[in-house]
Amino acid sequence: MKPITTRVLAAAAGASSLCLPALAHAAGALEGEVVQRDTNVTAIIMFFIFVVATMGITYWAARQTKSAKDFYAAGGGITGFQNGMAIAGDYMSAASFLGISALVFASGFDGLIYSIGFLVGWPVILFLVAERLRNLGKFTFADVASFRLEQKPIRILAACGTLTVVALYLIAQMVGAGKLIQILFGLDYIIAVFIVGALMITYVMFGGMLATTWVQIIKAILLLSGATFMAVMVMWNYGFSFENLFTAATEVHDKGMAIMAPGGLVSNPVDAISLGLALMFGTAGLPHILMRFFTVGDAKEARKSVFYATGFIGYFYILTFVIGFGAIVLVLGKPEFMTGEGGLIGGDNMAAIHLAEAVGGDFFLGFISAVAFATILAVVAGLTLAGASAVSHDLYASVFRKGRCTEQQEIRVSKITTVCLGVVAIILGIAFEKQNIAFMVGLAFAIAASVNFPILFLSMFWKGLTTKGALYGGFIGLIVAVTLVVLGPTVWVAIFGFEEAIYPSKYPALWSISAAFLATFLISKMDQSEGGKNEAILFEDQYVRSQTGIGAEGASSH
Amino acid sequence: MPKMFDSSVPPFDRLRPREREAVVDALDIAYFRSGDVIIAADQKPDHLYVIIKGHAVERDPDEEIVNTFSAKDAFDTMALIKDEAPANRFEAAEEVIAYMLPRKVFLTLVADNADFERFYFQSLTERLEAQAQLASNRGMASFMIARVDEAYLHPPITAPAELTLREAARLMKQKRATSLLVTGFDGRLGVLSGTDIREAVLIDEQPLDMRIGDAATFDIHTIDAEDFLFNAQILMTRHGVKRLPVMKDGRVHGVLELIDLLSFMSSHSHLVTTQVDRAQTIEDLRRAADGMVPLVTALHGSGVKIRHVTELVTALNRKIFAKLFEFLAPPEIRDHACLIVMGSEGRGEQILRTDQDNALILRDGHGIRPELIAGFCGNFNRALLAFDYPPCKGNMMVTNPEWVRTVSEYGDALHRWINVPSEFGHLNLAAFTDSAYVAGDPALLAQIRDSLFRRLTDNQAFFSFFARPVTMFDTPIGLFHQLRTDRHAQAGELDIKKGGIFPIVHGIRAMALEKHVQDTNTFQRIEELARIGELEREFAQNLSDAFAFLLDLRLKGRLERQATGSEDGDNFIQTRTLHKLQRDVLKDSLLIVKEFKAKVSHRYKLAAFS
Repeated sequence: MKPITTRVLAAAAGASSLCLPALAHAAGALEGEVVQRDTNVTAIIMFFIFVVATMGITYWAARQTKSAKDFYAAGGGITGFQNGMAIAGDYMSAASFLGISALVFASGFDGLIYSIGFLVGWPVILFLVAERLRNLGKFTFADVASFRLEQKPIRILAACGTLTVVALYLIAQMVGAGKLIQILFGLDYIIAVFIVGALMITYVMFGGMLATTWVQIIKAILLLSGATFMAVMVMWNYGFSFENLFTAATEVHDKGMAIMAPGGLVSNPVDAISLGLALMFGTAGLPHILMRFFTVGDAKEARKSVFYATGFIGYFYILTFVIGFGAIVLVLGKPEFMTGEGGLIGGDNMAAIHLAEAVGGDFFLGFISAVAFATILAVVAGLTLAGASAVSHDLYASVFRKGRCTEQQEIRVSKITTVCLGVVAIILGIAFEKQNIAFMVGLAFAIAASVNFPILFLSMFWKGLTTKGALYGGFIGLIVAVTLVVLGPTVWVAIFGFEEAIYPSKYPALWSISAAFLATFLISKMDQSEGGKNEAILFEDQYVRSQTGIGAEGASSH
Repeated sequence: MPKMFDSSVPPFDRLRPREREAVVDALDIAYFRSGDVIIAADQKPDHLYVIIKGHAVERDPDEEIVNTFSAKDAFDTMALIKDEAPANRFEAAEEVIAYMLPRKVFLTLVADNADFERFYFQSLTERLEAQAQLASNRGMASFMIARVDEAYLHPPITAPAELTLREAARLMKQKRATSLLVTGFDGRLGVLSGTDIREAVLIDEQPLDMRIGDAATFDIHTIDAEDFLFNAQILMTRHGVKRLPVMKDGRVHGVLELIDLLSFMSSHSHLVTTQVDRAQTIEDLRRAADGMVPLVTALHGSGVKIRHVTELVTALNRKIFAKLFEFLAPPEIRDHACLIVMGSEGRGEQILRTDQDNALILRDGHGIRPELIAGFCGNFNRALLAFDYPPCKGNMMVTNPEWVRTVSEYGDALHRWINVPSEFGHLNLAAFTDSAYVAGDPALLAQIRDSLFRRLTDNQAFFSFFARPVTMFDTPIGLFHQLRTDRHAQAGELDIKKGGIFPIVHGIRAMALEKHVQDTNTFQRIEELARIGELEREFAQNLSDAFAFLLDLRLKGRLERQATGSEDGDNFIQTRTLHKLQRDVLKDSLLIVKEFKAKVSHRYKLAAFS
């Protein structure tokens, strides 16, 4: 192992203190400081072995189902348990694993608010939309909404919403992967992001042969085992006593006892409600999650899979909590993990990765890095597919070409979109380097909750919804959410470098969701057009079908 | 100069004698040791090499083998025609002895002989047709390819309408004819046969001096001398006539008699049809059914397009089933039930006699005693078994109560299959989607199909689920377009059903179900989907061709197996036994399957579910 010199892009200010990375003032762009860091050959070798092995196992597992003897074996779909695993896999993205443990690491107890929000989103989906979507036979928000509303405007809205959500979500994965590669290989962050971006595009373009479901299942298993090992090791250090762990943590952490109290991360009720709403309702608006309800055969299995998924995800979040505290006691203050300024090497997002090294050595570091990396690739694949489909199907085929285009053209557009999304993700990934990735995912949820969710919800439950209402309401939700994010501390201060944010809170969801619902309601009420009346009539058809699955011919003949 | 040049090797079989001589004059023979480079990459070749003995390979710049050549294969024609250096290298994989045809001679041939040239510039369709042509040139020409005027035609004997029956009979005896052509009072053309005379005199008790203009049949069918004999046969079968006046240049050229057609035929198609029609007992019917396998073998051997073979076989099978239904069904069942066939039988893609997939639909509130129904179903099934129609492995037969239901019971079943998807449900649904009417009340089937279509309108999620099996199996073609054969149980063989036939059938089925296409036959479905703009025309054509070729290969494999008596691996084909042209077409077909799978996968968003 020979020491090499690495330039780490550290923030001039902010990084020295252990404040939330989201609040870090990433003012100076490239005032990199030089940090001595060993290139960890063992870890790198392990990393490669595990990445290849993970992909290999996935490929093998997918082949097992593919080589099935019977032609209609896929007819039953996968089991509820498997699907539960896959959903959990979707959820245990790099954002959850790296991001939440980083939040706990930085703010202690309050880091849990994300875990809880994500988890509570599940029953919301289950009770409000899942079953109805299945009965309607629709798996994207655009398809549901255009069942009785006008195709064109709804698809434009859906595509805009979906693309924004996908972009924000992608940033989170990008930052996570970039940081991971950066500290593991000692590369420049920008180079790391470019490499990751290129890999992602390649993976999505040529990874068609890898079954996404199996990627998620395998990855869920690996990540759960890895995280369990870390948590057990942390607890073992403290005699399996939470009391000892917390005592030790409060002693080391700058904030002292404050990390055990609420308010460390989200200090006022408006922020808390705002964040909570985003996390709860955002899930139902996420394009790649809704699809998961259709991989199982019937509604019963779908409910089962939510049951299992909730169990796994809950367990996983407990683990991340322990890992966050573990990082406080085992990583914080250890010179091998800290920069000269007193911040974590690679930023707070890497807390879990450092802990892996602390408890399991290079071998385990390689393992966890590889699993986290594979995780990121898998989530990115799902997201990019959703984004590409929004552009190629909703925008290009349905709106731009008015349904008059060949599948070939649609596929080509979808490929071009994939590349564009990759490039956008690289650029934004560089811009948002310092952000906590769980927070970025939270923003994606906020957009989903402000654009997709209100329309989805109202189109299924409110007879009075009209196309105009949905269109304006959705766009108002989108604009308010994006504007508040830009004017808030996340972009206005951290990226544009202004002194003070125009909108003081980081969480826009409370205002944007309310605005979307209110605007949709008012405009629908004011809409006296013929089309609007017809849409109200079609609601009955849709309602019967969404409740029973028997239906009433398609409302729109497309 | 080589004495022996095998000019039957395509495309040299297209050469005219003079050209053949020129080729033989210009030919040289070369010898290469194993590993020798025959044509180096980036070097314009001066000769066309036709392998006499040995084995050569084509390697791309990455040293990957992209093609192999054995005896009678020629290379590198594209480089010669385009006059550019090939990107790949050709080398001997073992000792190779090859003819060398100078480039100039080869190019002259390409320029002068359109047939020869076309061999190198064909679309898939053309290549396939070239192949069909090839098969027929191999001395297997039969009545299917043959034109009407190739069969023995009786000289036309025309008689005026005023002739009496007695005079007509004398004329026929004198000319040894079995029929006369009659110019009617109004100038129309009619036919007077021995049967007509017999019926007029003996049955209708007409006087012998009745004028033939009143006894002849004027509502007749004619056929053009240029038409296929196959069509003549279909015409006769369809209309139950024994002779057809043959027209040439608008005039009667001769008369084609059934007996002559039959003697011309290498098959028993007409025999089977007439036997079925005339069957008075189940035993008669069984004898008729026995004629099927030789029929298919003969038709296929004659290079008849697979599509036509299946059409004929389907029509025959349906006829047999309908006749059997007529024999066995009590009147109540005939009035209140509908017999359908499902699966491949329903799609009309049955080639050899395969499983019986049938079901019975009963009218709601039919009031027929259950024992009566069960009795009929049992008899029907036993009779088909006796006819050598093997039982359906999935038990989709009228003996299974699951497949004997009333209209509303089927409605409930459909609801379950759709909303509680399972392997079983999708299998049933797929089979039912392909169902076709055989006998009984056709309205019953129409009712259920209609409700199936309505139920599925706009249900994308269902279709994503339903179409998923399309991508279940890998297309057996590699990155470098090499054929990938089974490595385990069926080493060296290729599963053509999983690899090509099933994905096409099922993908097209899903699209047809989605778009309410009423046809059940895959070819017809493709045509209809192209017509309504769901498939691009050109692609639809290619897909049809590819599908036909794959079916053809499968049939060939099955016939070979039947000849050797082995039952296993019904869907496997030996890739080694294919000659180069077939291998190329197989590759092209599989590439089209691959493209189709990508389309289906995109259409139903299968990637997100895999």
